[in-house]
Amino acid sequence: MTRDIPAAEAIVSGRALATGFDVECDVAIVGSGAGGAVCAALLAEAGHRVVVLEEGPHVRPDEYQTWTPSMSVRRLFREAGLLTAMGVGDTPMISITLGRAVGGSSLLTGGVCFRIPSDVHHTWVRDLGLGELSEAALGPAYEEVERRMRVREVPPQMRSRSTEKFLQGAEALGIEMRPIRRNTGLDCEGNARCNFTCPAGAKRSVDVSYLPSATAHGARIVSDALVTDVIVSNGRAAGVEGHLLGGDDAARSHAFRVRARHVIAACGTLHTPLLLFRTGLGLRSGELGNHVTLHPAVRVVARFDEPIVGWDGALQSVYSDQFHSDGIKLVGVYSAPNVLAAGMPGVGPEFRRRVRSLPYCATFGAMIHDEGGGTVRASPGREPLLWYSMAPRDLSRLRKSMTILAEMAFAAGAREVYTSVLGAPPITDMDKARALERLNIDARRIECMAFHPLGSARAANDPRRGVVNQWGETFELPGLYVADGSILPTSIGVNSQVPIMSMAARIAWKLGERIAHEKAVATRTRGRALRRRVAD
Amino acid sequence: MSEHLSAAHKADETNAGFRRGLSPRAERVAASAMEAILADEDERGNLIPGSPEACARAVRWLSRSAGHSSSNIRFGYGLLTWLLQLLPLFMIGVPSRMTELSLGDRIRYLTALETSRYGLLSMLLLAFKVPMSIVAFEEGAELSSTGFDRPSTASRRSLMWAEAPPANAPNTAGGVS
Repeated sequence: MTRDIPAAEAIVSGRALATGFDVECDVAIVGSGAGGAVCAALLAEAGHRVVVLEEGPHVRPDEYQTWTPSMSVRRLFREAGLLTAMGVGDTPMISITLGRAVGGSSLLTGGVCFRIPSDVHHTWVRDLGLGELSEAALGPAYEEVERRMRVREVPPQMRSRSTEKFLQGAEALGIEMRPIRRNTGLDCEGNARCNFTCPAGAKRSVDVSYLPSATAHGARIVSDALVTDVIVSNGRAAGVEGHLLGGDDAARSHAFRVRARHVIAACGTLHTPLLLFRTGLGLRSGELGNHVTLHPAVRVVARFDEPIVGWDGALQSVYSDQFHSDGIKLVGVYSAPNVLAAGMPGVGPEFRRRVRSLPYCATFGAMIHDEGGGTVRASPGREPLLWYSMAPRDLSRLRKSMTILAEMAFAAGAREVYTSVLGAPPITDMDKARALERLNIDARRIECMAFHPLGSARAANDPRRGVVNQWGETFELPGLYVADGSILPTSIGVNSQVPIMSMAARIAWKLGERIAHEKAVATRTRGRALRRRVAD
Repeated sequence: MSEHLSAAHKADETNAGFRRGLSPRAERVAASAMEAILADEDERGNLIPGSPEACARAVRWLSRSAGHSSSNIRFGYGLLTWLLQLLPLFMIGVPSRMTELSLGDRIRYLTALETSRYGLLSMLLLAFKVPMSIVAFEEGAELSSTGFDRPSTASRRSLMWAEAPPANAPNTAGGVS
């Protein structure tokens, strides 16, 4: 092992390294997604030495912007997009989208930016005693994150005709819709395929909004670097170690070690618990890896008589909180045409006929503010296993949301609506939609997806109830912090990118102050020792 | 199978390598399913299987994706292809493996899976249909059949510009004018 990272670039590909390394820094960060990138940038800007270790590859934006959706899925999505939460009991199988690259899942979001709703903050403060996580306490962090990501409301002219159709239906039904805010500044062209990277480079994912500043301030980022263990010394975190990943099959190649007094785990809700379990944490509270929330989501496709051509416009531009008390958020959504085609029902000629009707189709989605019920554990392979037991209340909300979306579609003049119930015939009127909601069906027939797994290492004010404190430090191992979606104490009911980044910003600011204080104390101590030696 | 790949996919494989994640048997099962999923009717109403190019592209993508994924995924798809192969007897009462069914029977079988009252059977079809269809409909005649009016799924929206944007155009389109 060399005593420095043996490459000159700020972002080093671990695959290209001919040897491992053993380096020292102030903060070792595991993961370069929404949480890790924010911490890296803010700590490096504060003058601290930062090393970021990312399991996935580094792909430059000018390269991934040219990829087709299937290339993005295979090369940027964890498990090539085939990751699934296994439904336990009366629960759908839920397809999970996670990123695995420098920039993490921020490369694959729709760019939607919400703050945590006030009532969720209120619950955290009032019911969970998390006074440091109030809306006011996170205010500066929200502002910082939104400024850097150029968060703006999507202007009405960027709405697709697909969205306009559902707006028309919502208006007819008296459902209030609002413009969504996204991290695309004024650059969005309306290519409607943000989840597979933005071909226009408009989306301010963290690889363009935060990591360049981190590297400009001296942070080193190593991609294809799998951290396997947190080093523990004298009862506190002292760094991390792992292996570089090389070859086509990402096999382990050279070992590395990063020694640091402070370690931030930002591997995401499914992978942070694995790292903590391997470090021997999580036994005291029994909370680690449990209570995972997902925001399960469904969509409907509505076919109209007139052409819609929904792919011209922003992927997501409006939402509704009309059903907030039911835990349902309605969200406009579209996708790449081949992805929408793949989701059309039927096999053979029936399927092909429906695919040909795509220009006449509009889509809309709904997301559930779920109770949780997910559990993450290690598997025999490298990836975790995720089980999810959906609360009966959430399942009925999921089904109700499809009825609401169908009603909006029919109010806008749709001929037929394809719901997310697999194998169900298209519905042609509201009586059939309501009948489908009432029908006693196997929950696994509901095609369900989730983009925001949260809460596997939740924050608490007591070691018996959580894994980290309100500043992200683990109760069981001083010097080890968690700064990703896993620390959110409950489901939040909104897209999680800004919440995760804001929580990470708070943690980084606090840690930066602590490191600065430690450095000042060390400098004073060294000065005193030197003066004593000179005096002697 | 690689002779059916488009230039874009060949370039991708050249850059990123190919590691098979499905066995040849599993690939044959996936290809047989895809042929039925993509089947269409000609002008006379006769069934025609999905195009070899689209099926090959889709199966190769699935195999390659499994190859670059964890052992959980490879094991899972190995198991699913066995099930897909062996269930025709239970679903449509034909004592045959799926790959040996006629095209019409395969469509009938896969439709029975999709419409089954048991969700896990519907999910079995979905596990192959969705990922492979994403690839199948990504280019060529299959993409054209979606009505998509851009040359590729990676193309930028052309309506934003009075004429084609220059190669070095800045990303400053502020909205639809």
